[in-house]
Order: sequence, then C-alpha cells, then structure tokens
Amino acid sequence: MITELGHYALVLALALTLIQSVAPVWGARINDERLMASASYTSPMIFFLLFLSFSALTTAYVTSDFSLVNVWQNSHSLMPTIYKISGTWGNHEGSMLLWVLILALFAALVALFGGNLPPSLKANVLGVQAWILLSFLLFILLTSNPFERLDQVPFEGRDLNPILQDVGLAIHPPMLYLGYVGFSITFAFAVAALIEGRIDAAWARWVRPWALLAWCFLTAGISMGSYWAYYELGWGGWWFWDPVENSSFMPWLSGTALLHSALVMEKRSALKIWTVLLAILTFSLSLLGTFLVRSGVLTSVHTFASDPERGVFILMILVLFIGGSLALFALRAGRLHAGGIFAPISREGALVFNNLILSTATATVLVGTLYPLVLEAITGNKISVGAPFFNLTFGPMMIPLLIAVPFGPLLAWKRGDLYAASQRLFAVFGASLLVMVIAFAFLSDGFSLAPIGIGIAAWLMMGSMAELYLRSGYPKTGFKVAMNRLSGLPRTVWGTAMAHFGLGMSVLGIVFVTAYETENVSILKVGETTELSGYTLRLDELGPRAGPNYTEDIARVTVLVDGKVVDELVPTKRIYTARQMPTSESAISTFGFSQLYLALGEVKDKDTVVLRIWWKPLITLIWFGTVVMVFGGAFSLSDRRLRVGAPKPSVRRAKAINA
Amino acid sequence: MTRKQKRLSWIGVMGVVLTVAVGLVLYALSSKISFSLDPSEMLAKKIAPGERIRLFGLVKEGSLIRGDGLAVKFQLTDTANTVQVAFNNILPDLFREGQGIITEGALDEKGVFVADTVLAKHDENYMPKEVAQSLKEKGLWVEKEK
Amino acid sequence: MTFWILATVLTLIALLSIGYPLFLRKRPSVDADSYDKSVYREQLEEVDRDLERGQISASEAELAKAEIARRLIALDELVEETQNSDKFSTAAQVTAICTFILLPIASVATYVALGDPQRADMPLQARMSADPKTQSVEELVARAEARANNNPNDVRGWKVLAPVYLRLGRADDAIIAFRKVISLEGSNSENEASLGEAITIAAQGVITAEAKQHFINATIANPKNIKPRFFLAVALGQENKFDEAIKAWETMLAQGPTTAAWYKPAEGELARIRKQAGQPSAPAIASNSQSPKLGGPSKGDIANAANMSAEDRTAMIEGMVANLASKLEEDPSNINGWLRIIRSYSVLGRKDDAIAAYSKAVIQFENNPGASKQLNDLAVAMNIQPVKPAQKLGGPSKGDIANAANMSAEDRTAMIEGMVANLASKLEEDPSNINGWLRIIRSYSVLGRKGDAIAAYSKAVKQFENNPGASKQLNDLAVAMNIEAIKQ
Repeated sequence: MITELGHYALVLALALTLIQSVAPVWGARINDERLMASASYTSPMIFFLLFLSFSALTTAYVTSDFSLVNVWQNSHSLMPTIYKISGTWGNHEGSMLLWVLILALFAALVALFGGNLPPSLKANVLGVQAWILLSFLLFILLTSNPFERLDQVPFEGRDLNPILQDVGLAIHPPMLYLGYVGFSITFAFAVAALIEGRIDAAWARWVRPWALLAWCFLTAGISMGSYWAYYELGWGGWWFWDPVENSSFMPWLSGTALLHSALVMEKRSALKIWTVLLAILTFSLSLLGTFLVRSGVLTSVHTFASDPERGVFILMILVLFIGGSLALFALRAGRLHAGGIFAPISREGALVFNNLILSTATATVLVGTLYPLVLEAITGNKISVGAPFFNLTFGPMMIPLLIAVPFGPLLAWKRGDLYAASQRLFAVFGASLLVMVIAFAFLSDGFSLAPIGIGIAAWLMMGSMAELYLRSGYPKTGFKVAMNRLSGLPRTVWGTAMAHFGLGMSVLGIVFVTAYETENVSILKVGETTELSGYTLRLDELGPRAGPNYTEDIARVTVLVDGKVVDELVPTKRIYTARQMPTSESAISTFGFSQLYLALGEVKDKDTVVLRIWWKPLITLIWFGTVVMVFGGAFSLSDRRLRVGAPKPSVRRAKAINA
Repeated sequence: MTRKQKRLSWIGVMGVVLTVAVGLVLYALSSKISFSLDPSEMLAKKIAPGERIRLFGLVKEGSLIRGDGLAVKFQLTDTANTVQVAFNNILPDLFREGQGIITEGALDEKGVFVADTVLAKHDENYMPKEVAQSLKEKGLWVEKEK
Repeated sequence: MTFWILATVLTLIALLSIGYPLFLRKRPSVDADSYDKSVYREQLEEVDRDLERGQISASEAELAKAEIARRLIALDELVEETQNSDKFSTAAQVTAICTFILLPIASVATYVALGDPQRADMPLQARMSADPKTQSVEELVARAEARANNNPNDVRGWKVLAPVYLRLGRADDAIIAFRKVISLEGSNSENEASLGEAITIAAQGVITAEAKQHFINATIANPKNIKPRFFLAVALGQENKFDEAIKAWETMLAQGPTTAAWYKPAEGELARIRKQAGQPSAPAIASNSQSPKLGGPSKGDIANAANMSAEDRTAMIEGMVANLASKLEEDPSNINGWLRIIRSYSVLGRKDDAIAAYSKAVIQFENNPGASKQLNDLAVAMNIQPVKPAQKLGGPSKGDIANAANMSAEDRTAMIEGMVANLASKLEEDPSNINGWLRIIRSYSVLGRKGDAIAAYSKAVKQFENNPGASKQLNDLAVAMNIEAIKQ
C-alpha cells in the first residue's frame, strides 16, 4: 500500500503542478492577488507529495519489494542497506524522481523564503518552475514510471550494477542534480523577468545567491564524480573528456560565468541582459546534458540503460524550453534596461573578460561534444573527439583567464587602475617566477611546459591571497589591527579569495599529475617485489575472499620505503554473483597530497598476478582544490548583507573632496 | 576614454578571443580527431600505417593469444573482415572473446593494429554503439547473438 | 480501503493548499516599485551601519549612497500606474471550480489507469515469514534457501531443501545441497543414496560411475536400505549385465513386501530386463511406466513448479551439456558420457548435435558390442537414426528412474518445441497477431533459444511500431524475459 500511495502522490503532484503552471502566471497577467498567491502554497505542497512518493520508492528498495519492476531490476536482497538506499537513484526511473523532487524542493524554498519578492515576480518564477516540473513529471509517468509492478513477483532482484555499488555514487548524483536543478531557479527568474519586461532590484538580489548555491553543488558533484571514476573504474584517470562528463562540465563553465556576471548585476546593476541570457543558457546546457545522457545518443560508463522513446520525449522538453526561452529573450530583451556603464579597465571589465573566456570555452566544449554526433548524422562518418582535442582548445584558452584572476578583485568598480593593480601584484609575480625557476631546476629533465603551469598555479594561489593581505594593511598597521581588519572584511571577499585559491590548488594538482606521473606494470609472483618512484611493493598474498553479494580475488601488497613498511594495500577483482559481472577494485595509499594507486590485472595462476601501479604526485590537490572552492562559495553565500559596489573616486575628485 | 573608444576596445578584445578560439577549434578538428572504423571500413579506407584511429568490432572467438608478460594478440572482426590486433597492457575486466570492444591505436608496417587502449564497457550486455550499428547494417546481429 | 481513505486525505490536503490562498487570504498587495524601494532603503541602512563600524570610509559611504540614490531616482521615472484589487475575481472563481472538480477526478482517473490500488506491498522479509499454508512451493523454497544461505552450517536447512530441489527438477542444486548435508552431518546410507539419486537425475537417468559409488557407499552403510539397491540394479541393466541385474531384481522382490512403493516398478524393470536379455518375462505384470515413489513429487508440487522447473531445467541442462561435451573431447572413452550427451541434445531439440555426437560415439565404440548396442538403443528411442527393425524394443531405462517431474519437463519441452514451430509458421502468414508474437517470444525464451527470441522480438517491434499498446506489451515481456534487442 505504501508503494501505491507513493504512486498516487506522484499523480496528485502532477495534477497540482498543472494548476500551478497556469494559475499564478495568469494571476500575474491580470494582476489578481489571490491567483498569484496560490503558488506560494501549492509549491511546498507539491514538494511534500513528491517527498512522499520518493520515500515510498526508497521504502520499497530498503524492504526489497521485488513486485516493483524498478526494484527487481536494480536491487538485490543481500546488498548492504546503504546501497539499497542509493539504488533508489542508481537507475534511470529513480534518478528522474530524485530530479523532480529536487526541482520541487527549490520551488518550495522560493515560495517559503521569497517573502520580499514582488508578488508578480514570485508568481511568475513559480509558474515557470511549474512548467519545468510539469514536463518532467509527465516524462516520468509516461515513459519511466518507477512504480510499475510485476505480476509474477520474483524472489531475488537482478542487482544494482556493481560499479554503482559505491559510496561515491551514493552521494554524487544527488549533488550533481542539486546543481543542475539549482540553475532552474535562475532560469525561472530570467524567464519571469522577460515575461514581466522588467528587472526588479529584488531580482538581482536573488539571482546571485541562487546561482552560487547551484554552483557549489555542481562543483561538489562534478568533483565527486571525477574522484569516483578515478578510484572505481581502475583506469587511474580522473577526467576523460567523456561526453557525459562534458555535459556536466558545460553548465559548470557557464554557471561560473553566470556567478560572476550576477555579481556585476547585484553590485552595479549592469550586464542585466547578458545575465538573463546566461541564466537561460546555463539551464539549457543542464537540460542538454540530461538529454545526452538519458537518450542513448551517447554511450559512456555513466549512462543508464537508454531508450529512444525517452530520448524523443526529453528532446521535446529540450526544444520547448531552450527554443521557447531564447525566442522570448529575442522578443523581450529589448524592453529591459541595460543598466550602468563602466570603463574597460575596471572590476566590471575584468568580470566581463572572465565571462567572455568562460562562454567561449563552454562553446568549444559544446562543439567537441556535439561535432561527432552532427558529423555522423550528416555524413555518416564516425569519429571520436577525445582528450587531444580538448587539451588543445580548452587548455590554451584557460591560460589568459587564470593569469587575469588575481587582477580582478584588485580593480575598482566602474573605472580601475591596471597599473596600480600590477604594482601591488609585483611581489606575487616575483615569487611565482621564483617557483617556476625552481621547478625548472629540480623537477624537469629537459624542456617541459610543466614549470610554467606550476608558476601559473603559484601566481593564482598567492595572487588570490593578495587582496586579503593588502586589505589588512599589515606591516604598516601592525598585527592586531591587521587581524581586526581581516575579520571585519565582508565574507564575500573571503569567499572570493578562497575560491580562487582553490582553483590554484586544482591547477597545481592537474599540472603535477599530468607531467610527473609514473607508471609500472609488472607480473609478480607471491613474495616478489617491484619498485616505483622510491616505493617498494611486495606481493604477500593472493587468494579468494567472499563478500555479501560478490566473490573476489584479493592481492595483499605491502608498501615499503627504505625497507620500512609504510602501508598495506589490497586491490581486488570481484565477480558480482547476480549479474556474473567482473569489476576491479583499486587500492590507493595516500602520502601527503600524493597517491600510490594499485589496480589488479589478470590473475595468471594461483600465485602470479599482473599489477598495475601508478605514482600520482599531488593528485589529491585536484579535489581538495574543488573542496576549497565550494567552501569559498558557501562562505560567500553566508554573507546575506546587501552590498553596493560603489566606484572609487577618481584621483582628481578625491583631491577635490579632501581639499 | 570616450564611449566609442570603449566600445571599440571591447569589440577588439572579443574579436581576438573569438578568433583564437575558432582557430584552435578548427585546427584541433583537423588534426586531433580520429576516425572510428570497423575492420571492413578500415581496409576500404586504406588507412596508412601510423595514423591513429579507433577500431571497433567483435573479438573473434578462439583468437586470443596471451604472450609473455602482458602482451596479447587477438583478432577483431566485423564478421566480414578481420584484423590482427596487438596490445601490451592489462585488458579490461569485461574483455571476452565474442565481446564487442573498441580499441585505439594505429596500424604498423605489417598490417597489425597496435592498440594502446582497449575499451569494453562496464555492462554485461554492453555492445558498443558503433559495433551494434555496424553489425546491424550487415544484418548480422541476430546470428551473432546465437 | 485504507488506501482510498489515505488517498482521499492526501487529495483533501492538496486541495487545501490551493483553496486557502484562493478563499481566505486577503492582504492588499503593493506595487512592485515599492519592493524595489525597500531593497534600496535596506541598502542605505547597510551603508550607514558599515560606516559606524568603520569598515568603510566616509567618502566611500558617500559615494555608495550617491549610487543608491541614483538608482532610486531612476526608479521614480519608471513608475507605472498599477491597480490592485482584492476582489474574488472571475479568474479566481474559474480556477477554484476547475481545481475542486477536476483535480480529484483527474488524479484518481490517471492513477487508476496507471496504478493498481488493490496491490499490497511485498517486502521480502514479510514474504519470507508469511504463513506457509498460503504460500506457493516457489515461495517456500525461496524461504528455505534464504534460511540455508544465512546459516550455511545448519544441516537442517539443507536437509529440507535438498529433496525439494530434487522434486522441482533442480537436480544440480540438489546435488550441492546433499553434498552439504553429507559434509555437515557425515556420510550415512540415506544421505549417500539421496546424493546418488540426485546425480542420476541430473544425468538424465544414466547412473554414472560417481552415482554408483554413492549407492555402493549407501548399501555398505546399511545393506537393508532399498533405494540404493534399486538404483544399483538399474545400473546393472544399463551396463548390459543382464544376468546380474535379473538376479538383483529377483533378490529384492523376494525380500520386500509386495505392498512397498518400489515393488511394482521393480517388477516392471525385471520384466523389461528379461525381455532385453531374451528371457521370458515370468510374472505377467505389465511394465509400468509410473516412476517409483523414491523421489517423486506430489502432483500438486509439479503443477506449482512446472513453470519454474522448465526454465531452470533448460538452463541447467544447457550448462551441463557444454561441460560434458568438453569432458568428452578429452576422454572419449566414457560411454555413459556419450549416452548422456546424445540424450541431452535430443531433449533440447538440438537434433543435429545429437546426430553428430551419435556418429562420433559409434566410431569410438565400434569394437565394443555392448556400447554399440546401448548407443543404438538410445538412437532408436530418441529417433536419431533410421530405425533398424530388429531393435524395435528396449529403449534405455529412462522413464523408470527419472521421476515424474523429469518426465513432465521433457514432455513439456518437446511439446513446446512443436507448438513453437507451428506458431512460427502461422505468424509468417499473419504477422498481425500480437498474442501469437508474445507467445512465441515467451516460448523461445523459456526454451533458452535467446537468439530466436530476440529475432522474433525485433520483428514484432517493427510490426507493431505504430501500436503503443502492443509495443508496451512487447516491451514488458522483453523486460521480464531479459531480452535486450536492437531497439533503435
């Protein structure tokens, strides 16, 4: 009965969403107070209904109710409870239900905390949100209903795909969805602004924190997905420029651009139209990502079973929302007021530069992802666009952006002084140069671009701290005053510094692991040793072991440095009994920020095995960097005060005032 | 700076960035992409030795030979034509005879395809899309399943 | 009923969320500009506060205020006349009516079309602990399996499970279970005999050397146990040691009570062996094809298990056959192996394979008259070779040993095969019959002919691509049967 109630709640939510997609928008149009207000009540209700529905499905998973097709296909009674729970969204139907649940959650949050929004804006935003929700609820009920039942109820499920039985995957998709779907709010705000033909002051005040929140989740989601692929797939890589990865990376890039342009909008009410467009594009890219992953247009390790019927449905949603919103933009953007003016060299100018590079980069990733599909559709030629393409296009474009990052916060609003900013960054520049020279001297044998990369990373990390340092006024002011000043700084300033510092960390990790990674593939007998980058690895034991729903071959490997045991690693090869599917579980040992990565290859006979070993210097900085970025974002988010970005007085005027 | 100068400098920066981006993309598209081919297509196209391509097909039953250490040789087939493939690394978990796989690498002088990457998807029913399509075109899917 | 009460409550709460703002909420709204103004006012206050705390200088504060003031002025220029009313407008009335009438109707109608309100939850735990009387054999077996797997060292679980497996025709599982019982409880006559029986059934009634050893162990442990002796006598017959077989049967019949369950089948065996050996059959008892009650399941069990065992069986046999074939490659001198594989191929409908194996075996044993005869008998029984008239009678003792479950499963397979061929040709003529397609796909799947199932599925999908109902049925079936086909 719980299952059926969950099913009914889902249908009821659809009916209520249908009303919410009409009533408030109509109300805003004819200025009817009651109709506009209705959305504030239905939104939380829809969330409640979907929450019931999702809980019912989770209950079915936890209790192994194999009368549901979905549970039978993706669960197993012997699976640990955590994977039974995560199995709920470890499949197409369940993950779509999670998607709409999060969509409804965001709408409910706007409804509950949007008291200071003008009623018509709020009504339109919730109305647009209901349109999105409506189309996805229809999608679920018509093509991917998780509550479908089986007549002949089996006694055992077919098990969750073994590579999805992992803690990383229990958290990764919800994070990613919070990010994707978070951008639906900024999209709804953008479309609402276009419908109303005006951008309220409250609009700007709302968009930036929402974009920031979505961005934080998306960053965490992508980072987690990358780490999951790194240790679970056993290939030792952390980013593959896989189309599915790209489809989450594109919204991230344009979301990052949105974040920065929303900043200009909030502080200086400039770049309004551009921000609206970016908000539309960011969510469109999220939808495109969903389409590419769900439709089976792309195949990848991340895709669930695909189905063309679903693909067509999502394509329709995609065309409707992207086409509709862009058409609306073309029609109505002219009615929006452009807002403030500024000089090219200014904080705004730096942020526009950021936006320019980020949107161009997004476009190149989009080209690389879609080109093979388009080419195949037109000429029938099948090609693969992989890492070499992206390294050549995306890589060089990031360099000017990374170099420009430290300048941004040092420039004043409206009109800045590039020369003064350069002077203040001079010490940082010198230090980075020194780091580069040291890297040249000690790390490289022969010519390599890596030291330059290391220099840029150092420049980023130190440069992002420069603003904090300069604002503290230290040596001149004395330690105590400096500390006081630092703690009094707006949290947004701290957030910016942290996020940029985190970016520097990630760049450093990427450069190091790309340039200085070492690898060793050896065939070892029990008792034999092999060496890699100063570590000695000894194979101590090889044998079988049984898990709850799998059996595995394990290798026990002892890691020694200078004859001393420092760690023991147990890479395994598993066979999941229900699906008879083999997987490799790598073993990782962390030393500082670097990692020793072991994957088990073929077991040759009962005491000989192939081991693949990587030494990955500073690799964890890649993910630590993103963690710092997310913290920066969260810190900045916690600053709910209103700030106006006032221009610095020009020198002449300042003198006049002083005089 | 006047309004006009401001606008011009913006257009200038934008022009530079876009030109560089378009240039990079075009260059990369002409040099950094590789064809995805099945054995018949590869032979028909007369791919030159050393040119990087993706070759996909089914691992021919009974063709896998394990050499010293990690070296393996196997034949990749689309049922019409067959290509000898050499690979010197750990094969993926799901590599099996009869399985559809994708390899990346280049032909050597003797016509052996030297692969540096072998991909078999983590899914028990996996058939790479290219392989499935190629087989379907040849009307061989059903026979293969038997 | 509870479901509908709760569903009604949910619906009412949902209606409340729309009814409340429509009927009750009365707060005159203010125009959008005043919201903007309040934002700017807050910003001004913020600047003042920052100034007090000394976070910005006086000149900075002044500039910030000037900026805000500029925005406020810009706002005043924009003011448009907006009129708000708090009347219960026609629009609100229409919405209210639509909502209160259509929402419940639409929700319930949609739900009834999609869902199944009668359906109870079926959590595994509850199914496992439900009243055994109300459960099917499958459910009971699954429960026993779960219990045995959770306590693999508890012999009772395996003891319950092993004979049940045998009845359901899951002989391979039964072998594993009996082995477990022996390893946990130790070897005794009953256990050894049961294991031998399971191995025999798995081998399609041929008593292999391994099975024989277990029966011998059983008789050594308890010479009075009739079951192993019965099988050993059959084994003698299979080995063409007719004299010894006749002696064994006669001894058994002389000892045992005539009322025993095994008595009649034993008489039948004796009669048949005598015939084969060229002796007159002494007692005029018709050969009874009814199996001995040694391991036969009850009629009800068979009916319940028929579906499942046929599928399991086919899969099981397929695996076994492959295994056996590879063994025979290595050691082709094992006549029992050849007999088994020929029989298995025939049962599975792989006639060509059966003939091929038969031909190989004939060459292998051409100098061994006993083996040749066995092969020939089997070929006749299985209709593999053109029948030699002289050998009309005397198939191997198949039905005698194999229990009724086996028989029915074999019959089933043969029957389905025939039916399927018939159906296939009908569908060729009239491809618009969806039920026919569903049946044939299901049949192919059950028979383990996955390739054919996929081919049929693909054809059917194409045939019904414009018929959503039929497509859905096909898709559901494909999911249930685990058919992954070319769907694009």
